[in-house]
Amino acid sequence: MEGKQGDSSLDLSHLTEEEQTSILQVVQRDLELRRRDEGRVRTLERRETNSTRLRFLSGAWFSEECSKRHLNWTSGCDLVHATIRHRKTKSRDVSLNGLFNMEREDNNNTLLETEGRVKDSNQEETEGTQSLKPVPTSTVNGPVSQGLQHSNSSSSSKECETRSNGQSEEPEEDLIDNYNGDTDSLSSLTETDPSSLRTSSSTNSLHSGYVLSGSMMSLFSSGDFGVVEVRGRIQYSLAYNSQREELQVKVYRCEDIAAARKNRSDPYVKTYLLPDKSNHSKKKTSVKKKTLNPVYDQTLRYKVRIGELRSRTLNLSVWHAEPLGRNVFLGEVEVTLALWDWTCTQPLWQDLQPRVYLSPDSIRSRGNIMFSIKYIPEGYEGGGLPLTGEVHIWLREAQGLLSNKGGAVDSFVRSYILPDASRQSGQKTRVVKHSISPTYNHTMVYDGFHTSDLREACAELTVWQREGLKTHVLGGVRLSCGTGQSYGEVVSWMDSTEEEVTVWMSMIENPNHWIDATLPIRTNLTRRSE
Amino acid sequence: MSDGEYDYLIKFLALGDSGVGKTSFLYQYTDSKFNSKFITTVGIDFREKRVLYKSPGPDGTSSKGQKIHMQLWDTAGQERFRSLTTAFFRDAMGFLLLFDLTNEQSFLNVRHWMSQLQIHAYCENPDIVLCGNKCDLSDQRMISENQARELAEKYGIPYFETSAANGDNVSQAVEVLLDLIMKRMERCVDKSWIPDGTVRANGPFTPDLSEGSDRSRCAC
Repeated sequence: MEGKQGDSSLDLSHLTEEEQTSILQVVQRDLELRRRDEGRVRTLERRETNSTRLRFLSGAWFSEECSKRHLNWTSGCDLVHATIRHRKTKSRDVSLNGLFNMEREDNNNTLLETEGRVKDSNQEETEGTQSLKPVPTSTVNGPVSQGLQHSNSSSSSKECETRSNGQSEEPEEDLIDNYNGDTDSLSSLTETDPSSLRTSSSTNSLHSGYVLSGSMMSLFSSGDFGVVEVRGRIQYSLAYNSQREELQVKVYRCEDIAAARKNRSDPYVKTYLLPDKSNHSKKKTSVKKKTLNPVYDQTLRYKVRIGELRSRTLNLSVWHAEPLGRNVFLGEVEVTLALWDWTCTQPLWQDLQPRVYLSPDSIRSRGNIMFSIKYIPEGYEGGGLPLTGEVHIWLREAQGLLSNKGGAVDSFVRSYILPDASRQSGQKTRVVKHSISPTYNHTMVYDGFHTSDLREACAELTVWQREGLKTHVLGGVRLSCGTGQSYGEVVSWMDSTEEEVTVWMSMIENPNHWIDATLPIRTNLTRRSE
Repeated sequence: MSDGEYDYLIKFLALGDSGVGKTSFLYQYTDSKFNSKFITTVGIDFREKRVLYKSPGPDGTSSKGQKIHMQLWDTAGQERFRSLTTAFFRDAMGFLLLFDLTNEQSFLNVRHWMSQLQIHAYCENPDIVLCGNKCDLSDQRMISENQARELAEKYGIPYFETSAANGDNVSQAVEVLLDLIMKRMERCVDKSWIPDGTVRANGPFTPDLSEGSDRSRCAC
């Protein structure tokens, strides 16, 4: 028995779809009731001067008691709501009929939340494969985004040699990999489904890739990669087995690779599903002795949900196994999985690329942020609706967070609605520890708006990494009309991208509707003058 | 009905074994109706009712009626919904713990429900009213009134013999619970006017039935 309780997650997976739908309906009704009560309380707060009496009438006495017992007190209803809604986005076989019936029977605005979701799941059914289709595979470099084009390789490797600072790849102790046993699950927290790609504009954003040039792995390695001039190519194929939720990376062979030692190499291939560069993510083939044309025909398997894959980059690198001392880097290939054509399972050849030192500044996007946003316009006194308009931001999760060192991070999200950058205006989620795709599931509410204010305002969400006591910003999004101006003044923070503008406009044009969005966490937010 | 025109929003929750009559009890309370067909509750549900509450004020004079909007949560008794329903315990200010007078097991399980409440409710000693339901089925009765009262006394909670079928004691049980909540609310927020040594209406809360000398208080 615990005296104080944290929020434990709820497992409702044993319930049937119909049961979950039915429960969701009840939860929606409760939401309606609570919203009306919140309206009543707001009115009360303006009128009631006696603070004691206010605590009775508003129910604050109860919330205060609750918070004494439960840390991060979430109402049971919200917990269940989040659990069921989350499950519904994950499950491909959502009973759409059930949801549609709900939509028709009830005229309430709140069910539009589900409506939005219904439409999206519907969309996913028809466009699912489309959203996974990448750049055509006929190009020389294979299915890779334009972001990964390498600059002139010879000059890069020269650069590399002068930059090398003596640190190399970690010593390869376990050279023989039992790849069959490697079925570690990569994503411990929430994964997302293709249905999480809501607005079509946000789909486009995922095609832009993480980095401007160079491989993602280069970000995390500050090593000795210029020893050998990279040459040759690698043949591999990718396949995803939905039933087993497994990514199969089949490594066939390499051709004409560089010789690490006098006329010989003992090469092996290593893979990572970046930005995770932990041991969970690392997999290796066996070592082939004394050959520059090793044949592997080995499959490396990753247990991962398809939704999580789209935020990952597969890195295949070739190394010479040096029994004494450091292994030697022989080249690499990186694949942005969001762009991969999963219908293509044939083997592909790809030239091995050198690794270039990359500064963190070259990262354009640090993953995606997934959230829903809604505007509730001002109502009338006594109607149970808010007196001023409110913006609700339901911050769900971030996907594929790319930090400077790579791997899982402790993160949180901060929000402001500019131009109000005061301390009171800032809200933030709790810190989610050790995750590449953290779920925040936090709703921020801002009030005091008139609809006209929305065109001058900007909702800024920034994702922060916490390392010990220090925090630094990874990137963020700014949702606004992108006019560059606010209340007649030119400001630097009305710099929304096209897709950010689309989300904000959708919110304004569809009051009382949740607008779902998945947007890249961009690193180029122009500084705000304090 | 759910406009903002009320003074208090009070949330209660009915719990107990499957089939004891929680749904019927609440339906009888809100609509004064009874349906003998057994339709098991899917997980969770709630009903609403607007009532007028009159209580004497702190200075002894009768205060004006307060409009109460009640949200009455109805939980499934079935085991498979257990994790779901316990998640809702924390949202309720007061509890109606029901058992079936014609079903001995449901009475024996009262102890289990009490400890669940102690763990999952908003505080360790929430306001609870025990109801022995189906008192109209006198020839099928398995639990005597004495047995039940004894149990209730050990927990320090009020006990009612109710019938969702004919309405016996249904409103009374709910009204007593409401009264407990309203009084607790006042105690929580402003203790200054309560003279020392006042016995709490709910008494000591000791789920293991031992006579505890220390009174568990509302943690405010």
